[in-house]
This record gives sequence, structure tokens and C-alpha cells, in this order.
Amino acid sequence: MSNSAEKILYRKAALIFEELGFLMPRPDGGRVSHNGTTRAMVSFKGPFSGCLLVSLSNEILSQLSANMLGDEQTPTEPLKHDSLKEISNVICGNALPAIYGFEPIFHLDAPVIHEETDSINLEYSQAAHVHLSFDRGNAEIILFAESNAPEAFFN
Amino acid sequence: MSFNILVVDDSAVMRSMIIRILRLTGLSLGEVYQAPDGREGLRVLDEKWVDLALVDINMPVMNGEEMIDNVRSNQTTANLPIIVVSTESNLARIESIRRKHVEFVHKPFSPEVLRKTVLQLTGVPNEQLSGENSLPQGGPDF
Repeated sequence: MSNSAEKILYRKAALIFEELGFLMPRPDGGRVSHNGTTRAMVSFKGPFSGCLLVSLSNEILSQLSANMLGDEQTPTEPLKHDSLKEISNVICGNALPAIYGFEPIFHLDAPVIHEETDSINLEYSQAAHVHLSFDRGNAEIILFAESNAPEAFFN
Repeated sequence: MSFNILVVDDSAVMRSMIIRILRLTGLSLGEVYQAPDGREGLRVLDEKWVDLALVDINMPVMNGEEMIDNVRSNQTTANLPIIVVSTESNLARIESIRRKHVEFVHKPFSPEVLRKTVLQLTGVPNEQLSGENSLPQGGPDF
């Protein structure tokens, strides 16, 4: 991890996967091979705009959804998407103030499932990029922000 | 006494997770109602008796703050115990929400934090909880 924004994003994401999804990231951080990913995007507006992109390997998405639902429901495709959108929303809502401070108000749009072919606003620059590895797959999280966002986002 | 519960969150998975944790608190639950937004939540409150509501803030159609304002301005529901469960981190907004006489639980939450808040708000002492379903200290073994 090259900057403090990435360290904060990693710590927040790891905590949230643990508390909401009951998934513990592997400390070695090694990548696990997997079959395909599903992505969700959360756009935000506030002192500046941007978005958070969360990609989960499909094995982890199934496990995440099953853990969040418990034994009472089998995760269907819509429920898996709902799990990914919810965890993306919580990561974004926690990471932004941790990086930028608790005073500004950020408004988060409803998360959407983001297809590979969907584009990211070209005015956004990559501010932080982290990987989390689990026993059965990986998570990749990228934070984009307007290029005129404060330095805290890029340092 | 059984508590009728309303859980309002646009995420079906989060509603399910909250309900599962509530069942593990040992609190005696009666009817458990769900709504995906504030407007549907108000509709449930119009039609059913609810003892405790857990409400998200950022939702489509009608957000949680607007729903809570409606609840507080209605004589029938004005004193309904409400727990806001949200990712909101801005201190001024949290303070503004708390002034609506609600408890606040920040996402992500541990089962133990939600349990404590529910028990504090319902006023049920530990000894009256169902032993069979009680959440062990430190959280459930998921």
C-alpha cells in the first residue's frame, strides 16, 4: 500500500468484512484463484465527487451472502447482489470520513451493480486501490475521486 | 411480554441480518414486520401495533429522517422507541438525528452492540431474557 488513504481503506474494509460478513482476510494477502467477479459501485457527492468500486470473486460473494443471511435463507442471485451493494455502501460510508474527516457531509447514491463494460467518470482519478484475500477468493476495492480532491485522498 | 418489531432498510439482506440478531438477543419477539423504505414503514405503523422500530437513514422513496419526523408528529406513534442503524458518520448529522429521541447504532455493528441498545431501549432486564436464545457475551459463534 503506497499511501495513507490505502491503509485506511484497507483497515476499514477488513473490519467491515469481518463484522458484517463474518469473513476474515488472510494476513499473508496472497491472491486466491477464482472464477469470475461481481462488481458494485457507490457514487458520492460532497466537498468533491467520486465513487467506490468493489469487486468480489463469486465464491466470496456466495459466502458473504450466506453469512449475512444465516441459515434461514438460501442466497439467490438478487440477494447476493444486495449483499455486495450493502457491504460496498458501508465501506464507502466509513472510509470517506476516516480519510477526509468527520466534518464534511458526503451524500452516497444507492449502490449499483457495475458491469465490466460500464465506464467510470473520466474526471475521476484513482485515489486508493486495495486487495483483500480470503480463503476462497479475493476482494478488490478502488476509490476514485475528482482530481481536485484534497491531497489526503492521494497521499 | 412479546415485542412487535419493525425493521426498515432498503437492503433485504441487512433486514434479515438485523432480525436474526434480534432473535439471538433473547428478547421475546412477537410479530416482525419489514419495510424497504420510510413510506412503507409508515404504512406498517398505520396498520399494525409496533413496540420498537429499527430504521436506516439513506433509503429511496422516503429516507429514515423523514419517516422519523412523521412518526414523532403522529400522536399514536410519537413515543415509539426507534433505533437508527446507519453508516452515517458526520457528527453534526448524528447529533441532529439523536435530537429526534432515537438511539443510534453505527454500521458495521457487532451483534453485542445491537443487543445492548435494544435491551436499553426496551428496558428488559437481563434476567427476563429467554435463556435458550440468549446471545453469549462477545457475540454469537457464526
